[in-house]
Amino acid sequence: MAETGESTEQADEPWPQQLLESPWLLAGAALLYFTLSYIVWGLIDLMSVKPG
Amino acid sequence: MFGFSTFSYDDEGYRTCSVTGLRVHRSAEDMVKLFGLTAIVALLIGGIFAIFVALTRWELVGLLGPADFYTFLSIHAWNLLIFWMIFMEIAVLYVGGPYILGRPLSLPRVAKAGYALMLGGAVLINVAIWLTNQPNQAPLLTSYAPLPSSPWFYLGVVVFLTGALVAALPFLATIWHEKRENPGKTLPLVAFGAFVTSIVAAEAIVGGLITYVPTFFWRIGLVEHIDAAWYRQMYWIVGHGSQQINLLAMISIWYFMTHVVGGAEVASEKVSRSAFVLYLFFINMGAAHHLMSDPGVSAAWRIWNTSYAAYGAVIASMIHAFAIPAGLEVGRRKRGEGGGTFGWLWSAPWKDPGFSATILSIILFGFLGGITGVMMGQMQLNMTWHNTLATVGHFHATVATGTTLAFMGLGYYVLRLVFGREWIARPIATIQPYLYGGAMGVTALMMMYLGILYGIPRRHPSVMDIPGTEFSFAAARPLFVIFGVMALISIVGGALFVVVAVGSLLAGDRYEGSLPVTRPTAVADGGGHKDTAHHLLSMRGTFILTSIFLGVFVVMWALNWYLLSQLWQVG
Amino acid sequence: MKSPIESPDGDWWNETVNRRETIWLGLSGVWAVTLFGWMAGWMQFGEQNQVGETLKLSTADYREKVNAYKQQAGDLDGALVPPDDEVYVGAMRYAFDGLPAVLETGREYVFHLGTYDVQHGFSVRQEDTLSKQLSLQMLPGYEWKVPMAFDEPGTYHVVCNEFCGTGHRTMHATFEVRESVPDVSGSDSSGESSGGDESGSEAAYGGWFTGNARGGETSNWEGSAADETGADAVTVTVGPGGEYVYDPAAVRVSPGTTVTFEWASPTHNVLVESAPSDWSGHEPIENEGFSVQHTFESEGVYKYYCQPHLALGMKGVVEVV
Repeated sequence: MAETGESTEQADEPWPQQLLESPWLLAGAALLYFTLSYIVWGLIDLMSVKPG
Repeated sequence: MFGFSTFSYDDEGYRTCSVTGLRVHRSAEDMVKLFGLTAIVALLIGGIFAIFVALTRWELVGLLGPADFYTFLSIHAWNLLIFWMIFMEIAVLYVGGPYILGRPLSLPRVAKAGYALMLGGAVLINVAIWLTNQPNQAPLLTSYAPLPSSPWFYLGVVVFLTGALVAALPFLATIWHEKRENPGKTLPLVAFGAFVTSIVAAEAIVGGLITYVPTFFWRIGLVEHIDAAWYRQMYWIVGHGSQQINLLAMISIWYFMTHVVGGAEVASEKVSRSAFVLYLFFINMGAAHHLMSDPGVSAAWRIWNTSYAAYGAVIASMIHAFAIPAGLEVGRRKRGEGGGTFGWLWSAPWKDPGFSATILSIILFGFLGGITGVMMGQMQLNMTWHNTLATVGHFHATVATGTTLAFMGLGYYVLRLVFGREWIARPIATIQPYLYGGAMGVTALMMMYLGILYGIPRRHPSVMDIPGTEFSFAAARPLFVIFGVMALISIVGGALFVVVAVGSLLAGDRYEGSLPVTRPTAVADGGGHKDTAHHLLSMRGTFILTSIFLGVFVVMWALNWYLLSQLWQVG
Repeated sequence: MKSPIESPDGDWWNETVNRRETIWLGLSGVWAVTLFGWMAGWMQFGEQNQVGETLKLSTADYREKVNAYKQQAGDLDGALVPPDDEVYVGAMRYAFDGLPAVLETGREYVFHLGTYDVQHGFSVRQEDTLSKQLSLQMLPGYEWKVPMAFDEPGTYHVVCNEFCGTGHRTMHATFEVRESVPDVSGSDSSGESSGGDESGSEAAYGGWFTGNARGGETSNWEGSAADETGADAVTVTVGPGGEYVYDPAAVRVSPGTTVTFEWASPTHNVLVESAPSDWSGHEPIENEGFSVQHTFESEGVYKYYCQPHLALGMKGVVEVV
C-alpha cells in the first residue's frame, strides 16, 4: 500500500478538503444547525399554540 | 484483561495485527473487549424476552397476559434497541479511533468510569421495569409522559445516558490528540465515520438528558407538569437519534469489513466523506418522523425536518449504497477476482460469516429498512403507518437485520482479530447469518404487511379478542402464523451467534492470523488511474445493483401513495 | 484508490470520480428533490393531509367542551348526532368519549381530538376494508382540529394504538357513516340505555356482576349486598384508590334514602343499565372530588355502570327494599 503521508502542506489543499479535515468545526456547525432547525423552531411552534 | 485472548503485547503495550496491519494498543483493546462482551450479554437477554413477546403477539399461542406483556416488551426493547446497540457502539468507537490510528486510548480511566455508569444504569433500568407495579406502568421504550413509570427507571436512564456520554469522551480525546500531533494528516475514512458517529451520538444523548432529567424530577414531584408535546419532541432526539448512531456505526463497519474480508477499496474519498458530513448535519432531524401525525408542530416544521433538509441525508445513504459495493467491485477486480459484470460478487467469500453478515446487512437494511423509513417519514404517508405494526416491521428491518447483522459480522472478526480465537462449529457459523437474516427479514416483512394492509396496532397483546366488541382483526390470522414461526426461527438464528461467540471465546483454537484476502497486486498499490487498466476500475456491476434498488424504492413509494389516495379526505 | 483504514495523502479532493458514481449522484439528487417536492405538493393537490389547528387547554377544560357538545348533540339509537359540523372525541383510560356517533357521507366535519389523562391513539379503519385506516396522536393538554369527510358509508372502528395502561387493549369505539342522517335535536342527549330488565336478587341481580352480563366481571362483588336499610344517608365511593369498582358494589337501602356518589379517582361516570323508575345516573365524566346525589324512592333493583371501565367490570347496584 502507498505510504500514509503528511506530504501535503495544508495550504496547498483545496478548501473543501481543508473543511472536511476540520472535524471540530464541522461538529460545532452541525450541532448548531440541529439546535436551530429541530429544537428551537419546534419549540417556537409549540409556544405559538393558541389557548383553547 | 479477561485472558480469553491469545495475543501478547510488547513492552509499550502494542501488538501488530497480522491481518489488517494495524498497530493496536492494549488500553484500547481491553475496553473493546469489555464493552463488546457486555453488548452480547444484552443481546442474549433481549433475545430471550423476544421469545415471550413474539409468542404473545402470535395469539394462537398468546403466552402472556396484558400486564406481563408490557413489562416483557419493555425489557426486550431496552436491551436490544439501547443496551446491545450502545455498548457495542462504544466498542466500535474505540476500534474506529485508537485501533485505526494506531494509538493508545486516551483517558482510559474515564472509559472505565463510563462503563460503570452505563452498566449501573442498565441494571437499574432492567430491575425497575421488571418490578413495575401500580400506579406505575411499564415504560415500553418511549415512557411517554404523563403515563408514569417507576422513578428508578427514569433515574436509571439518566445514569445510563450520562455514562454513554462519558464513555464517548476517550474516543474524542483520542481524535483530539491525533489531530494535534499530526495536523497535516487526513483521518482514515473509517475513523472519520467513527467521528461522525460520536457526534451524532452525543447529540442524541444530550437530547435524552434534556428529556429525562426534567421527567425524573416530575416523577418524584419536584416538577409539577410535563407537557406531552414537548416531551415527544425532545424524547425523539434520543429515541430516533440512538438509532441513527446505529446507522453511522453500521456504515463505518460496512466500509471496514468489506475491506478486511472482501478486499474493498475506497471508491472516492471525496464522495464518501461528503456523505458522512451530510449525515452529521441532517440525520438526527429524522426524530421528526415520530411527530408527523401529532398536533402542535407546524406542517412546515414537519416537512422540513422529516425530509432531513430536503432529503440531504437520503442522498448520503444512497451515496454509501453505491460506494460500498463499488469499493468491493473495484478492489476485487484489481485482485483478479472479477470477471464480467458480476464475477467480483460471485467469487466473494460467501462462506465467511464476517463477510456474509456484512453483505446481508447492506441488502436487508437498504431494501427493507431504508426504503420503509423514508416512506413512513413522508408526512402524509405516516398516517397509514403511525403506531401500527408496520412501524415495528421497519425498525426490526433496520436494527435487527441491518445493524445487528453488521455487529454480528464484526463480532466474528473481533473473535479472530481481538481475541485471537478461531470460530468453533464452522458449519454453524457459516449458515448463521443466512438463517438469522433470512428469517428476521421475513418476520419484518410480515409485520409491515400486517400494519399497512390490516392496520394492526403495535403495543397490543390481544387484537384478535377485544373485550366488549365482536370486532377484531381476525382476518390477519394467516399472516400472524408466518410471523410467529419466522420470529422463532430468527431467535434461534440469533442464539446460534451467541453460542458460537461464547463457545469460540472459551474453547476456540488459536487463530493463526492468515489474511482472508490475498495482498493486492502492485497495480492496486497506490497506482493512479493512468496506471490502472480501465476495465479494472469498472463499477458497472454496482450500478446495475443500485439501479435495481432505486427501482424498487420508486415502486414501493408509488404504491404507498396510491394506497393513501384511496383513504377518505383528511385536512 | 485507497484503504478505508489508512490516511489518504495529497490532494484527494480532486481525484476523478468514476462516471457511473457521478451519474448515481445525479439520480440520487433528482430522487431527493422528487421526494421533497411530492410531500410539499400533496399539501396543495392531495386530499389526505393531517393538518389542522391546535389549541392548548387543560384536560378538565377539554372534558367540559366534550360534555357541552354531548348536551347539544342529538341521539340516534344511543349514538350521538353532531349538532353541526364539529365532532368531539375525548380519549381517556379506557374509552372514547363522544363515540359512538352517526355522520353523513360527503359532509366535511372537523374532528376535535384530545384526551382527559394520558396520550392515546386515534386509530380508525373501515369495517369492510381494514387497509383503509389511519392513526393520529391524541395528547393531554391539547385539542387538535382535523377536518375529515367520508365518501363511503359503513361502520368505522376506532381503537387506541398508544399504550395508555393496563386497560389499553379494551379501548374500542365506532362511528357510523350513513347516506343521510335525520335531523335529531339535542334536547335529550344522555344516550342512556333504558331497558326494563328487573331481575330479582335471588340470582344475584340476574348475574349483573358476572362476565356473562355486559362488561367484565366485577372484582369487588363478594356475593351479597351491603345492608344500609334504615340509614339516613348512604355513600357509594366511585373508584376508591384508583380501582375500577364502586364501593360497595351493591347496597340495599330503604325507600326515600339519599345515596351520595363520591368520586375518589379520575374519569368515571354513572350510567344506568336498568331501573324501576326514572334515574338518569350521571353521564358526564368526572374526576375525584366530584359528588352527586339521588334519592331513591321506588322499590326495585337499579343497575348501573361506569362507561369507560365497563369492560373492566366497574358495575354497581342500588336495591331499594
